[in-house]
Amino acid sequence: MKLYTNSGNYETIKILISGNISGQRLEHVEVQNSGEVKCQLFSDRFPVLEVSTSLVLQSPNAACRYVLAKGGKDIDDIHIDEWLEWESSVLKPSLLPYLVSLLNKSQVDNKLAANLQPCLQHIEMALKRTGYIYGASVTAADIVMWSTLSPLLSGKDTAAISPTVLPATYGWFKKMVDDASFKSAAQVVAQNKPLSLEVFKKSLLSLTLPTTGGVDSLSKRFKAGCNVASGQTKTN
Amino acid sequence: MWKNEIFQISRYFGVSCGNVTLDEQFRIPCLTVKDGNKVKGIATIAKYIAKNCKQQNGILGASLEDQANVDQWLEFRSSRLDRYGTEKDLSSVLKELNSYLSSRTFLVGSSVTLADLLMFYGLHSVYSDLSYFDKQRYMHLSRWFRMMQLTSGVKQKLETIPFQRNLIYPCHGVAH
Repeated sequence: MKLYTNSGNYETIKILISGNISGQRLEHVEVQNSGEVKCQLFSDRFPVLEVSTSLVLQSPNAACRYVLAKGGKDIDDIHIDEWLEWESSVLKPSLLPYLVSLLNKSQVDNKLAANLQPCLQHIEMALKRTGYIYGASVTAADIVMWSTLSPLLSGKDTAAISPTVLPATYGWFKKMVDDASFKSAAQVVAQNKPLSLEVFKKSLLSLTLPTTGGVDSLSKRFKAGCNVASGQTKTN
Repeated sequence: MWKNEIFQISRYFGVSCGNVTLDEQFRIPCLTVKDGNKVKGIATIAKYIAKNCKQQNGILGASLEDQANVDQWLEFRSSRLDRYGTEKDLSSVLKELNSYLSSRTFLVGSSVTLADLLMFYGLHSVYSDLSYFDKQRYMHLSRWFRMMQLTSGVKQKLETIPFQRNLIYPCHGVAH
């Protein structure tokens, strides 16, 4: 399997950890832009896992789980499905704008920090129960959450999120850093530098973030019988 | 919409559906199941319903590879299609789907999977607002949408979205 990625991408860590845990060999190919990727893509987001000529996974979470499953290390559980969906549809839309604002302004945007807090508390509560995101050992949920939180938790530059209010999260993050599978995956992405927000800077700033207002369309979706306004000019 | 969709998915699988509410904190749908436990998120709920149905027939993907691909499209649904903020976001979502479907009949493999079902229900309200011009512009996605609409048990009581039989606008309007 070929793993195409740009440099310093936090999502790449997930797939590399899964490869380490399940014993699947991944050929790590670092590229500058999507034009260098030979397989058929439907967007220019990285990383991309080329499983075969007919299957290219562009969802890092699906790729992470696939690599685990290939080595018999994935657990088929609805709670893990739930954590992975929550990470991609709730956590990332709150976390990424916050990280980008830190990198752009080098100061804390209070509104973005306030949006992020409930997500961090949700993780903290789970970790307080068993020391893992779900269950009593490392699952895809820990791998995915650890990688996504690594730009936030790895450096002093994000001290707005204080370790004192998230003791279980910081404890879990540090414990995993010492795990060989996590450590070597992080080293590959950070190119042997210590983890910090700076390591991920270039790839974070290259992201196209969804425009705010996404949450409004979510609320609309919930209301029965209400169409999500597309606002297209009708020509018929 | 979510509420209706979750009922439609249950009906498709011929199972009864628990109580659907909105998780106020994270603005995601929440299904309360028989033992009082909660299952959250549209893709997770759909997967839960499919997993609890006796006759799955590969609806979640027949191989590990197909399962991963189904997961990828379920995520696309909940993190991209459900979260577009502007017109531009929506058109990029439709463009990506259109280009992916230009060489495929189904999203995954060679039969209907949960990925097709959930994408169809999510797109139905979008399609009911699209002009004929846009339906032609996203022609591969539209072909897939028409096929899904005609697939037994899928559309249920939803409004039938009309399509033009022939091209009505010059071909250079097609989005690739």
